[in-house]
Amino acid sequence: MVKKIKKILVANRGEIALRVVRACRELGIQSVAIYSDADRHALHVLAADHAVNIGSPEPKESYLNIKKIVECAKSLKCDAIHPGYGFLAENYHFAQQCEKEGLIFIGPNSRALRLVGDKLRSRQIMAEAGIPIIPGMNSADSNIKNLQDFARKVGYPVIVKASGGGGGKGMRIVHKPSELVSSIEAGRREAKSAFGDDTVYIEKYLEKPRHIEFQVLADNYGDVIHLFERECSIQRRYQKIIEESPSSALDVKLRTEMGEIAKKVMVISHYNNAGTVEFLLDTSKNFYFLEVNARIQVEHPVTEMVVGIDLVKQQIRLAGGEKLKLKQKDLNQRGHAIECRIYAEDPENNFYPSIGRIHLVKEPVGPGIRCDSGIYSGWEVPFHYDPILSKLIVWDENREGAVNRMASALSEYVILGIKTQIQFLMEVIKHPEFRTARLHTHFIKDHFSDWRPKEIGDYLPVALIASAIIKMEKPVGSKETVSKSALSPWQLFGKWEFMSSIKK
Amino acid sequence: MEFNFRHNDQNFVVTVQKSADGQFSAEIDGRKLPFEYHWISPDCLWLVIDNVLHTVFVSQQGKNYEVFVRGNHSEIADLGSKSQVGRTVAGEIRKSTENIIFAPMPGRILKILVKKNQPVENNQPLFILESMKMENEVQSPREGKIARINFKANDLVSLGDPIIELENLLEK
Repeated sequence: MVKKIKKILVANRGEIALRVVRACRELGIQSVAIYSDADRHALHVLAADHAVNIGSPEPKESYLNIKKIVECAKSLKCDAIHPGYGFLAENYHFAQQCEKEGLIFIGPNSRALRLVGDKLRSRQIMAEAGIPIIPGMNSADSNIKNLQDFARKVGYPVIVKASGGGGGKGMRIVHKPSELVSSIEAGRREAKSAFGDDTVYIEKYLEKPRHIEFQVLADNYGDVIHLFERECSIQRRYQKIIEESPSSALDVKLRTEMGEIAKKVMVISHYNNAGTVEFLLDTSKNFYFLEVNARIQVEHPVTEMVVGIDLVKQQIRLAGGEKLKLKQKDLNQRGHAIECRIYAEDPENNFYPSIGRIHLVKEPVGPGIRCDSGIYSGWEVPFHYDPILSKLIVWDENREGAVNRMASALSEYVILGIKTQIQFLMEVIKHPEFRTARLHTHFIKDHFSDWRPKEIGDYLPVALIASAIIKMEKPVGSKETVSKSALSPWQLFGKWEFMSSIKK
Repeated sequence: MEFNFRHNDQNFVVTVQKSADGQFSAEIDGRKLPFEYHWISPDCLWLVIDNVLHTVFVSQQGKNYEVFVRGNHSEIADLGSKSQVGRTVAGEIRKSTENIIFAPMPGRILKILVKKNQPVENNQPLFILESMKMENEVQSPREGKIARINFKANDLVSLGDPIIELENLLEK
């Protein structure tokens, strides 16, 4: 049954909320943004057709408040809710509640969501279906002794994982028996606050694996296709920071094999809508099923660039009950795409979150450059949420071209006022091991563990002379607090008039 | 004209001169650099130094300048006239000193890992601060003894709040 979706509530914030709002606009669908008190001035709120304040900044009072969000969607006569990623995206209670209230949840059905969200049960089911998995516990255990025994049995290093989670939250790598108990405790605390579920389990930890994932689309009638792989091996603190497609580690044979397995995983789970099947690939090119990410992912743009498909629009169409029009045999990968995640983190201060007012943003533009962003000049970054600010995505004919384009685009990305890890990303991109695609998930730890931000060096005289010019002569409109008063750079242009230098 | 700036704990003197034919030149550490410039917008400066073109983005907060040039960031503090050189620059973020451990970011204290009067080692975890949904462990900058704990678990703290105070271990 095909239902024409006319109005979508976007149950998220930041760049992904904006991404969904734009997709709605292009499809002629009305969008409703929700926002917490901390996000009154956020970009996704300014971009939507309607915006509703949903409560205090604490996520559980606002972006995680199922009751309020569903009520809001109903009172504004929305047909559907798009959950974005994070927050309620993989919460089957939320999907269930939407189904009960006659709202379309833009994502998988609640039963599939529940199954793939239960990392342990889905591991078991996949193993029974003959899908390769990493040696690990078959059930969560709150008994420390049992966890210790299992870790000893499979051998260190092991990884502690939250049974309810993903995105690195609640995850800890443990190298020595003496570190196990404190890691389990920390993992539980983080899992509890992130997913409200503090159960953990243990898996064998592979040395130098690559993280390869397959994007899948499934309609409500059992048809499933994959849109090839993304490689997300460059991670820091269990968070992906650079993703790309295609992966240099796969040849046609392996790609086809993994793609077919990914589709099988989705069929077994009775999955519909967009999802991602994650694998680890070891140094001997054995692959293991890791988990299903039942949502649109942060890194979805690299697939869009290479395959030429708009995944968010596909999600909306499939959720409305349309059949998949794409056929596996018609899909192919063209060129190479890379994404860098821009985080509000201070590399000089242990990558701690950097919070405050953004004085100036200038995003790179040009051929093959895409910037999915949720920030603007004058906006204050709140501390309640994820530190992701934006994603910079580039495309070129091949990997070498894409790497060069990314390096150039990063060097043009201006964010003043708060700290970001852009300079760190630039150095990772330029690293010889990255250029030659010798990637694995411990790349950052192996090559950048003692990394320090580099001195400005040759550019110091430029910065000093620029500072002297600011002191000598400030342009009109540039009072000391120029950016504080400015909501956007173009607002300033009204007041601004060109001043030639003091030459005259 | 003479300007005094500070960058990364180092002082710099920039002397700018304008010749009779309107040419600018700057002298830094004995290096003479001819330059010309235009403001493109209040945040953006077109700057040619020694015939090399730079597009420079600037942000001024009081006496602190943030300068961006081709992927390179730098913070320059204006020290004002000579007599003021060496004074602490206003607005500088407090970093944890010898004796006080400040909150390195705003957030919520999740857990204090030490007790009053407890001896601690260099790099020993002192407290866990949750910010932007991540747990951040803050470690002791040196060996010592916990003299004061000014906050407790669940407290919301601002950047620069003094969380824990250290004192020296008594020598025996």
